[in-house]
Amino acid sequence: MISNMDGTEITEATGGTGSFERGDDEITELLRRHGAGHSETADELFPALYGELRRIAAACARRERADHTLQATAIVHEAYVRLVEQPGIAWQSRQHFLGLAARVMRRVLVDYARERGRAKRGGGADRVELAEALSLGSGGDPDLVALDDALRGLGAVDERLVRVVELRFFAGLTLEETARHLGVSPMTVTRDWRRAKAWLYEELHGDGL
Amino acid sequence: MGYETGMEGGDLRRPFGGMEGGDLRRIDGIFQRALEVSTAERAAFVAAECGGDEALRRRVGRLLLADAEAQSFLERPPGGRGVDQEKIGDTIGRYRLLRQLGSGGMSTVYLAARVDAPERRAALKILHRGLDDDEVLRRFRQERLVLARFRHRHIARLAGGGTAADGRPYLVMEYVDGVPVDAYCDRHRLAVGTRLELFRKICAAVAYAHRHQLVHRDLKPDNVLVTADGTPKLLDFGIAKLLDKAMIDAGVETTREGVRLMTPGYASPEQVLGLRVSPATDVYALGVVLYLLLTGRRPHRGDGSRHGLGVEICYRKPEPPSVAVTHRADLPDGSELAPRALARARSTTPWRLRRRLAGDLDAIVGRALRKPPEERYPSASELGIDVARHLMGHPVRARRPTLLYRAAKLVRRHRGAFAVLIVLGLVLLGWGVAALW
Repeated sequence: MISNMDGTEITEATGGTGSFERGDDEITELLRRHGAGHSETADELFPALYGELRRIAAACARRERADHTLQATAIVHEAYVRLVEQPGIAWQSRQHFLGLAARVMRRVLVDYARERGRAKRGGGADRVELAEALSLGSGGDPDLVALDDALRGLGAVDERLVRVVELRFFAGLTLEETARHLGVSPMTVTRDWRRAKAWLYEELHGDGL
Repeated sequence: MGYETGMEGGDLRRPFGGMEGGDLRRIDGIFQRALEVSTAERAAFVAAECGGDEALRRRVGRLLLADAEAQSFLERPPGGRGVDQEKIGDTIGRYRLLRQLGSGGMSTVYLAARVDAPERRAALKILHRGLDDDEVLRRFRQERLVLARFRHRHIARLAGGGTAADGRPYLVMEYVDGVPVDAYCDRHRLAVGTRLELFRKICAAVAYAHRHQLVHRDLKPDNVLVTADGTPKLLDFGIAKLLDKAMIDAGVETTREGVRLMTPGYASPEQVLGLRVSPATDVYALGVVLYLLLTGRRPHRGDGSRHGLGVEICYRKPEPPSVAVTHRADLPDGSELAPRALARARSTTPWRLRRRLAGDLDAIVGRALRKPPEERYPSASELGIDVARHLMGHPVRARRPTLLYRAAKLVRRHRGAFAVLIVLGLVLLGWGVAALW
């Protein structure tokens, strides 16, 4: 397993299925090392997870029937089961994974949304397909690019609010899971979530502060 | 401008009006504390905190407004197709979904058939996403056990429930093939007396629930169906409470949002104000239903805004039914109902209808619709009993028991006996007078 650490390139899967093992093991190993106190692994984990989540999304998009769209949270969940629910992964690593996966998922989705916008003005058909499969921007989803911008502004209000939105919205964690992850009480998450929603809603739908 | 600017978005509009961190945190601080203050005191609190800084006050106000409107914002994970992930034909628990019966802000209801016994139909209600936290689920199951013990002829039975594959809770209820009670009454042109008999059965069902410590909280014609054979059935008993709880647990303040959940036209003053809900809340809603059955309209219509309606519910005394029926009603769907059509739907004339409502029924409805809960009938059973008293010609509790009123009732109840007495009296009188001659 560890032999796969020899620089297996994590790029987006453009075809084929069931060949995730190499990337999986690498990420699992990174998580294991991270849990063991090697904090420098965080920098490696982000791009590795980014590729992994996009790959799962692409595989899901192909697998799912056309009328059955997939959800971002389902992708994070699948990644979790694949990478983390394995023997030898410390509790800290699991916790770390969720926080990281939430941030990565935010990036993945916002990038899709951007690509979709760009491709609408020509080119990049298969990426659009993927975004369509995720049905981003349809059925009441907020404008993810605008949301991403607003989130960056929200950091100036309170950085924790950004974390709460990533965990709750992008990774689909429950209130309790979010609280456990951030090491605060569920009451605090409840309040944070409400504050964050008001700020973001005002920015996206309000008349401007 | 736009996508080409890339991740850092240098020349993009800066979020939050380009304000600096310090200003943003100041706004957030006041906003955060304002959320802890009751809705009624909020405006005063914010004004005091802002100390004359108009711009600051306005910004906090905008956040509070956003907070009120953002209830469902971001509650659904990105990439989902719509509110419901389930489709017709899907199997949830032991049931297969046949068609959608309705969808509200909190849940969607399907007509479903048992997989192992397709002829057995049920209504399956599944909660939308965002309300499925562990604690909510635990309470949900607990409440379900209570509801499952409910047995009443006029209450749709809770048959079961569980958790769908994606973790959302659902309830399985007796499927009622019926029509909302107001539509049923109009369709069959039921006279006032027949409507009152039907209404009494509804009161009895609500009273049964009250005896089991359960308040409905969301009584309205859509939740009171009448089957083809004329049996009323109450739906969604306890559901409103479950949902309320889910909302509280999901961190949504119920003072205002609790009302948002329910149909505003049927909300009681205490629900509008976010005060304690009690059996008297159901008595109020029954009063609204009775008003509707008698007059074809709801006691309060408002000015079209939620706020206007709320103010009216809390502070304006409704027109007595006997007065209401003398003029046209503006219905929620924009149509009008003329007094003549209204009377026809009750198999009577406008003049007779007004006379029928004046007195007892005005008083009964008025008592049920009092603003302070403690001035209403203490329970649904008291309301039902007063309606029964009226139907039997006894004095109703809603009216002051003056001697004249009681005497009039007594006379009307025993018309025959009094006629005999009067004739006898006249005969005696005549006899006496003749004897004097």
